Amino acid sequence: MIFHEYSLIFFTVLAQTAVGGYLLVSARALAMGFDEAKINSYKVPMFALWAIMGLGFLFSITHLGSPLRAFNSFNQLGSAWLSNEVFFGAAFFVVGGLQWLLSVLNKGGAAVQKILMIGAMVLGCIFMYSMVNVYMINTVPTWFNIYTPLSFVMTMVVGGLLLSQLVIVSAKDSRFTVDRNIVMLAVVAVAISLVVTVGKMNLVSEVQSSIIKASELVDGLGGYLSVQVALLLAGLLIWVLPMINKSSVNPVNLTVALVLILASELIGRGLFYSLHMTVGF
Amino acid sequence: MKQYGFYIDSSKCTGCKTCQLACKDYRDLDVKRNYRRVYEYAGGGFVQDGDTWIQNDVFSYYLSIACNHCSNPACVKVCPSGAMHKRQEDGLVVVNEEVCIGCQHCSNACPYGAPQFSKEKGHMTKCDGCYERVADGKQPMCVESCPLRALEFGEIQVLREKYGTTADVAPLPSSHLTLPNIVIKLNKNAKPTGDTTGYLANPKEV
Repeated sequence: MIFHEYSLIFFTVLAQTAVGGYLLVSARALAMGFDEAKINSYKVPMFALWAIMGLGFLFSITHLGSPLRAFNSFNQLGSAWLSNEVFFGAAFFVVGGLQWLLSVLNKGGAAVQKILMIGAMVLGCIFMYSMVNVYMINTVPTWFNIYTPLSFVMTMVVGGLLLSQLVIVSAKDSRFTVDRNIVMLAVVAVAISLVVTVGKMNLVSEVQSSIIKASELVDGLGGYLSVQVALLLAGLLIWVLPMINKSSVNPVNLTVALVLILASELIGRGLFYSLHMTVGF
Repeated sequence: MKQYGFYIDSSKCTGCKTCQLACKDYRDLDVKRNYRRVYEYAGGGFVQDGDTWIQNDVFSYYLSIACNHCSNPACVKVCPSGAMHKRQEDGLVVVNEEVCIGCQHCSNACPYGAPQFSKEKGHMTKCDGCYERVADGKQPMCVESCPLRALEFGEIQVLREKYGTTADVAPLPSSHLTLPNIVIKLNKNAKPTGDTTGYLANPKEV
């Protein structure tokens, strides 16, 4: 089984998807100069995004052996990446969540909401940067390599792209060119994601210590990889099929695609944690 | 700053695991946790010469490893709560069990398997060098129990003056990563760090 670290698997994948989606939706809102009414029209689909983020945080707390001491995780803010991750993740959630609350309550005006949006985007980026660094430990050769940042960023890009489109389409703010452009980006992003997965497995085949071979850590590694790739491609197919058929994407096909692609990412992250080893024992 | 460490005589160690068990008993550890572990690194094989098989390069040796109370501890660097800390007074790496949140990230980072999670307690535990005994002028329990006198504990500077500075041997990782405060007397069959000709012969015991 590769899901013994299920809480971290769900936390990281859901957080990366939510932050990726938030960055894209908010960047678009800022770039297109949304007015207050327009921002507020996103309140329902954005609830889904924050629910995904919130679910991620719930999973992260189940990871702790002593959840009642969760606040101690802030103690090493500034010197331990895990503290930074928790702090900036929480800050992203609070600032972004406040912006969402204002959009629900029709309060604050466009300027205040946009300032909060920019704040949440910056915090989200620091959150993601910290999350990568949590795993960049020089005694863990299967994590301490370029594929950790690459695979985390690709989860943000693929998951975020799909979630942002789901949000935009659900807010009834899409049109053919927007959908087409996102779908074209999706094909490119999934292709890069596959290259990263192949590259990572190539590296894993070479990593070993005196007593551990990385390639022997997971029983049926090839099988898991096949399912991961198959789910990713199936998700992509369902994602882009309406555009190939010259109809329009809709929340239903996008949701199905999101479920399939998240499942693929969860398997990939399961393998990431299962491939943990150190340079020693 | 004072810095304690261990001397491990791999040329004497017979792998009897009295140290492991003495510690387990003294610290009242459950089945899964061992603050000191004896690793058996073995390898080599036999070659056929006509009708007989002759010993070619068969080897096996033991390394008794607890926490190495590193000068650059990987566990302390990643700890978000600050529970994992290096004591100013004696350089021992200790987890404050009142503060630890049980995220287990220290055990991800440590290449020696020193921090160990207690499911019952919900937080990390580890070898603390028996600092209370040491403060009383006694030796850590593992050192005192060794029937081969293959373990010593003391100020690392003194141990290094007496026995040299070797801290690298397979299957231990390169010592430059965490600067472990150990001195090892090599077994005659010892293989260098990074060696991949052997294997861990007792994975279920460590």
